Amino acid sequence: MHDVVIVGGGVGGTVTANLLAEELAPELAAGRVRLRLITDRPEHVYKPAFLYRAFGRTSPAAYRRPQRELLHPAVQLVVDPVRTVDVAQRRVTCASGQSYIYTYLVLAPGARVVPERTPGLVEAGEQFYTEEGSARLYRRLERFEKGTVVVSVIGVPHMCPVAPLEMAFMLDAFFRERGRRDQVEIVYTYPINRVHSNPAIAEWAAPQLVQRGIRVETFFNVERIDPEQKTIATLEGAELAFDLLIGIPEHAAPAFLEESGLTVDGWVPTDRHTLAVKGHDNAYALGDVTDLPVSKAGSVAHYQASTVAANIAAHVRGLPAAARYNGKTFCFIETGTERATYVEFDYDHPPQPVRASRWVHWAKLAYNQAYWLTARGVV
Amino acid sequence: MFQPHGQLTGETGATGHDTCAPSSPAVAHVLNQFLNEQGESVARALTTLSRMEQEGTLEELAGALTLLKLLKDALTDDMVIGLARRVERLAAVAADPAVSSLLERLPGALRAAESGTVSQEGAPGLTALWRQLGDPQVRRGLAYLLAVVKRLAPEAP
Repeated sequence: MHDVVIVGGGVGGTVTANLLAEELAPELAAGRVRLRLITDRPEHVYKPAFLYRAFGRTSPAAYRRPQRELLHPAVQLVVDPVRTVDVAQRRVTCASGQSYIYTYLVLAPGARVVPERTPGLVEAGEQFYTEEGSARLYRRLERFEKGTVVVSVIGVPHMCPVAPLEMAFMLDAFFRERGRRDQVEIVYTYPINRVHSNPAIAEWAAPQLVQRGIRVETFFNVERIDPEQKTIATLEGAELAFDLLIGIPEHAAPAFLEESGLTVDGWVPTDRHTLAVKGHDNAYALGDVTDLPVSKAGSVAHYQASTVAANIAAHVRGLPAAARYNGKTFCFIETGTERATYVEFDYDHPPQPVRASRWVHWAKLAYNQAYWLTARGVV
Repeated sequence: MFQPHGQLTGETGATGHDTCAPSSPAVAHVLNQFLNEQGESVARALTTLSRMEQEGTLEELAGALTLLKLLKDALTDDMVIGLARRVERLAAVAADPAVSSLLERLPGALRAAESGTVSQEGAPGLTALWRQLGDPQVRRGLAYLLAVVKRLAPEAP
């Protein structure tokens, strides 16, 4: 019996489980394989919707689905937060005390935000990387009449690398639509000497920000935030005042991975092509928890899922694990509330944003609805 | 109006980089010959193109074509294979004579049920249900459903 344990009920874990269930259907029917997906919540959440939630453009009913509905019937669902992974004993232990022995392990638990690592951010900042955060930000934006809004990228790497740019662009459109743009200054800050870590995206985005009258501050590494004075102090010695701070917090892998000794410098060391956890041929990692030089984006986890599923299916059948991930990434970029562009790139080819259009914006809106087909492994 | 008999001489501009001019006399000759033969057609096409540009249709067309590029950029071999496999399965089911026959009858049956006694008068009593069993059409329907039910469950291991 081959026991495949998948940790994580996001896009990476769910798609991997569904692809394996389909590929290994004969082995599952014959009782030679067991597929388990362990997650900490019974509902699957489509996180990219949080950006839209911050502008009141979607609701929880649209971005939540019961995890069970999305999984192939052959996949056993366990809702029980993982506490430890013992790679020597090949065992995953959950909060309830229940343990699961695995033959093959898939780590896809996603990343978490840790705003508490930046002094003052929890008290003074808003963010849109959690459901509660985006809902609260919407309430504040609706009431915001005038002043300075700062979109500050504090932690890198972070989930959905283009989302801070999208936030800045959408803020500009949001305040224009409400006739308040001349009363609101928008400032975008980034820690390095350009507006995005990817040079090609930075080159495309810089003039877009200028065109919209969005002030840009680069080499801006946030050291602390003063909630009383409403100021941001940087390592470079600068100080910036704000009326509303939208901070992109530091991110981290789930604590159980670090406590299980599976991280190096905060992330899981992963082979960039096979996606095997380095030093563990029977364990794979995908999505936000890897240390790979790729975006922490849903599309990456989706593309990686097919590589992981193919390699595990090969192991089960005694074949060489030959599938390779090439770094493929696909991201829509909302350039306001009516237009969007997208980027597609991999390890060897840099992104080239296409001209923003309403067509691409509609494609993004359509994909937000069609995402559930992706989670089911249909496309 | 576009003049089909253009002056394509093959000579470059003063800078030697005139991008409007063909790069060799041979190309100029071929283009001249083509315009002599197809000039009116080219003129009509360019007039249409010009009108589309002025109306903004060309811009929208380019935007719509971006969706094709988007699709190509977003998909992978695995995704295309998976999608094609599902389409094939769906098509095979839809093309099955039993399924297409059922699909033809289904809308009428559903309409009749929606407008029938159950919808209008609520749940029938046991006696009413028993009376309906006297209807040969009802018995045929039940036998049909039971035959389907019998084969719905997977084979016992």
